[in-house]
Amino acid sequence: MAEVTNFDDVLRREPGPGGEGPAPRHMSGQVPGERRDGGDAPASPERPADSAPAGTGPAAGDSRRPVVVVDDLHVTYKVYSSGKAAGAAEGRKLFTRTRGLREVHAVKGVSFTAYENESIGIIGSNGSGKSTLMRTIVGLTPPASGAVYASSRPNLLGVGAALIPDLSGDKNITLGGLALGYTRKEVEALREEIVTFAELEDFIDLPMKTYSSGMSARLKFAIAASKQHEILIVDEALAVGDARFRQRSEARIREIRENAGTVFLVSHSMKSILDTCSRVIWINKGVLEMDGEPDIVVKAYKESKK
Amino acid sequence: MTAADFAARNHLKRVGARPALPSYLKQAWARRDFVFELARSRIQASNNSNRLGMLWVVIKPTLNALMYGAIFGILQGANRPEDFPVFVVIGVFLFEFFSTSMTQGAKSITGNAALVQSLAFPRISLPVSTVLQNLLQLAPMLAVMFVYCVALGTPPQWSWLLVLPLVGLFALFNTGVALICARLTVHLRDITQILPLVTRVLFYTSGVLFSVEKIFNAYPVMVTVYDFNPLYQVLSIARGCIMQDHPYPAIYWPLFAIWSVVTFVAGIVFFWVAEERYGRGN
Repeated sequence: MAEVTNFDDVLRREPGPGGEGPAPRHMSGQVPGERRDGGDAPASPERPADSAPAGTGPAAGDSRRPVVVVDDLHVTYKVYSSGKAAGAAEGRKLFTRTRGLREVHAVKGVSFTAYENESIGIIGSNGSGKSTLMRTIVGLTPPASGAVYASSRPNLLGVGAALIPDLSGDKNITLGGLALGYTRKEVEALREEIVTFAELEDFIDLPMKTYSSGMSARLKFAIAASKQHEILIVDEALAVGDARFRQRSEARIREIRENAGTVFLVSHSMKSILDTCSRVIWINKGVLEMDGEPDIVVKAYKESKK
Repeated sequence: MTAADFAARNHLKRVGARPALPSYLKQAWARRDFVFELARSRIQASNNSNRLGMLWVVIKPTLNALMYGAIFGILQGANRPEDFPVFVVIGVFLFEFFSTSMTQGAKSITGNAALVQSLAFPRISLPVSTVLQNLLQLAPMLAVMFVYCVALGTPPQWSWLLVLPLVGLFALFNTGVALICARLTVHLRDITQILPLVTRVLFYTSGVLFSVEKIFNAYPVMVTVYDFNPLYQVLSIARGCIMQDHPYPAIYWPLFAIWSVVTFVAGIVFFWVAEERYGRGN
């Protein structure tokens, strides 16, 4: 890997997640009770972390429980490209033997540590490697080097791929639930709740292909979010459905998070990032650009976009 | 302290690490409901889109048997095995189970890339589910096959029941083949292009349509070679059990049982070794 990120470059990084998570924001009416992410604030994340691995940041005496450690992660794809790439159009390259085979270095040495009960927003422009990073964290895309360690297998919120459009919503709940690892009994117990949450009571017997995109997105979200995950990754899922369903799904994600889970949220909506996250990681061109307080990182990210 | 030590001290495990074979199989067994539901749903979905629905499961092999029966019946002339219609029906119907398991099994990982990349489960579920799907479709096919046999003048006998354990072994064999092809296809997509040819070659060489003894009368070596062809063994046993005077060597049972178990176990191990590889994009 030629272009290993030097972490010293990332000095702008905030050392740890926001201890004193911003007070309940304007969505607080949705979720009863206070947000609890700040409960472990005293553990000063500022402590020189000389004993901890580079980039993972935790001090030895940190009382918070790490649940995900990402260690110098590199992900590459080999893709057969057709014709010449717009960027690499130097004539001579066309005649080398590797013509047509391009290696895409999607994630270039990302390291961080996520702690219990954190809600981490992942931001970055299109193609910056966010989704690849998340897929690697859940173990779906194998890393080229480096590793991800987790206390339990992280899950990507989504079941869409397991569903069959020709079958009814009802059948798809069974299929999706089993795909998520429920037993049949558990699926039956959850069925009612899923249908109600997706607001599809009247249409659940119809084939899914007859659903509008919003309806099927709602169903997919409802099935996926029915599961209590210890570590959950949500990739732009908040952007489904109409405004009302969006609010409800955000509330549901918050609920999942409060139930002792750790959530990663990949989104382009700075508003939902600021609303739900207690820490933000900015990925730029496969490199961890910044990591810390939502307000600060989002601001820096917006600055860079200008 | 390295990240690995730090992770180990906090009881974190590496994500996506391939589990040991026993626990892998245990995880796969825990997903058996999913495997079954996926197989059933796929059958339903494919039936929903056709007017004749489930009927196609039997219509297709029937038409195949008719076509091959007619063509090869004429071509072979006097070399035709006795009771040719029943002979062909059994051959074509059972071979269909093998060929669909192999071709669909080969695509079970690459063809479900979205599923593989969005949910974590033992990947072995997918090829197994494909074979199960074909096994479920074989049930009505077998029923119709027996109806044809009776209609074509073969009286029912107790030995027909032996077809059940035979199909069980056949399913094991097909699962092994599907697992091996599934992994090979992940490494080399081009295999899906060549597989239809492979099935066709096997179709024409495994005695689906002809009697090996008659065709290779002059070449006893070939007859011995066929004694070790697992597909020929299956078809011979099935014909021997169903038809009246088509004796088969009793040694075919243990031989095919060995083939099945070895292929099945080899398939599982071969597939499991590359478990971490399946999510990758290329």
